[in-house]
Amino acid sequence: MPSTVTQAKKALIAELWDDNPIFRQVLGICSALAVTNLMFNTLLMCLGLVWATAMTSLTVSALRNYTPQRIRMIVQVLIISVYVIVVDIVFRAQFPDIHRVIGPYVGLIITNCILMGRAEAFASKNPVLPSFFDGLGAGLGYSGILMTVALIREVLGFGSVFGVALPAREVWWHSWTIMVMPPGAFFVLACMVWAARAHALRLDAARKAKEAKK
Amino acid sequence: MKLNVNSPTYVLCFTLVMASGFTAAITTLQVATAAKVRQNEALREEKALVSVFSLGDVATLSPTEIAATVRRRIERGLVVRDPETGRAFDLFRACRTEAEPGSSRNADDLEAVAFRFAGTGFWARITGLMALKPDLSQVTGLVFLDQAETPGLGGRIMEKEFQDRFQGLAATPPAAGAKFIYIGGGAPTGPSDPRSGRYVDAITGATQTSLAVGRFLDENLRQFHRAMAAAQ
Repeated sequence: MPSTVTQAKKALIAELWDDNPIFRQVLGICSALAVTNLMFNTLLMCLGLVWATAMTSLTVSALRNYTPQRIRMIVQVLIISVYVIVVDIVFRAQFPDIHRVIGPYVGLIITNCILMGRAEAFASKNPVLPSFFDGLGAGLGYSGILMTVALIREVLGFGSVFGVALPAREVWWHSWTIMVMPPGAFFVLACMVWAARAHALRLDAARKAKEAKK
Repeated sequence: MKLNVNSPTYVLCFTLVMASGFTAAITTLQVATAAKVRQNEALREEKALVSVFSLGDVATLSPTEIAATVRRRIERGLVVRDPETGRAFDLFRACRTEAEPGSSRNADDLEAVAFRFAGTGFWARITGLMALKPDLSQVTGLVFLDQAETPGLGGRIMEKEFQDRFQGLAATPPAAGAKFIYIGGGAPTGPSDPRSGRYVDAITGATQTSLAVGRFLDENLRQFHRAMAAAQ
């Protein structure tokens, strides 16, 4: 039987690529579309989500043996809400300017399917440490994709990265308005999922061929 | 003894404990940060007042300096009401000289007046402050406070460059059928054009937000003029 640390490591790594919430599980797409036109906003949203997924998974796992089956999903939603409200309160008190920009989206983390998905699929059945790393991995895996989508959208939509104009922007760049609007995220995300899945299929095929040779 | 976690009594107790525990935790955090949130809100309004009256650069002034400037140069807590709609406007008066709050001032000490405006943007409510000359003839400053427009598009109304476009616009009541302020739709063709002196370029790619802002600023200015006339 694998040790808890090994399980935790496996859970973390799996969420980053093999079970990536966006590429593989197609979870959390709504916020991926809403907040990815500026990298700074996306980064803060991702930090909030990483905290919420990791802490939710940890708490759900810690309470798994005491949570009645019939109300487990209500309890999970309650736990998710608490951690998201904590993010909202901390942002409001410590980063008021940023809170004004991303405040409406922070509340939406509660409805993000990744949190509920990981809580129900993994944390409710596994020990605390692997669950924490599973949640952390899911948040980081999600964040990696979102930051990439945001990078593409901000470069094409604004000609900047983290609000800093790219060199000689006025020469080569022309505003691509659709990249600033939510439909821009549809195109970028779809292309990324397609590319990632195609790459994953190639990797699988190569792995199978290698195994067949053995 | 093994717990029967599915018994109705346990479910009820578990629910109560969980709900009470988490609610208490959130409430504690909320209460602990309430003073800081209030302080942030007060500072934000003070910064907006200093900016809209051009009393200093809020980026370089400390919170204490901003608070002192507001206390000594701006009269707050005044309200005027539009007799037609009954709408109340918060009124702010900036003075040329410094004085402690409550001390009497000469009428010619008044440098500008400002009011809090509000309206519906493309997505949500937008609020802000608009400063006018004491005779309400010209806009001297405009600052948006709250908005939830599309980041990077309508959200650009928060940029200083856009807000500066309003400085110097005519704020006198327009001719019948004309508007106080026009945003976008082509620059005025000449002095006889009713938009002359009242026109602001829209934000590229944010036509709906620009139109909405033009619409509610016109309505707010109209109501504010009536409110000030009724107050005199």
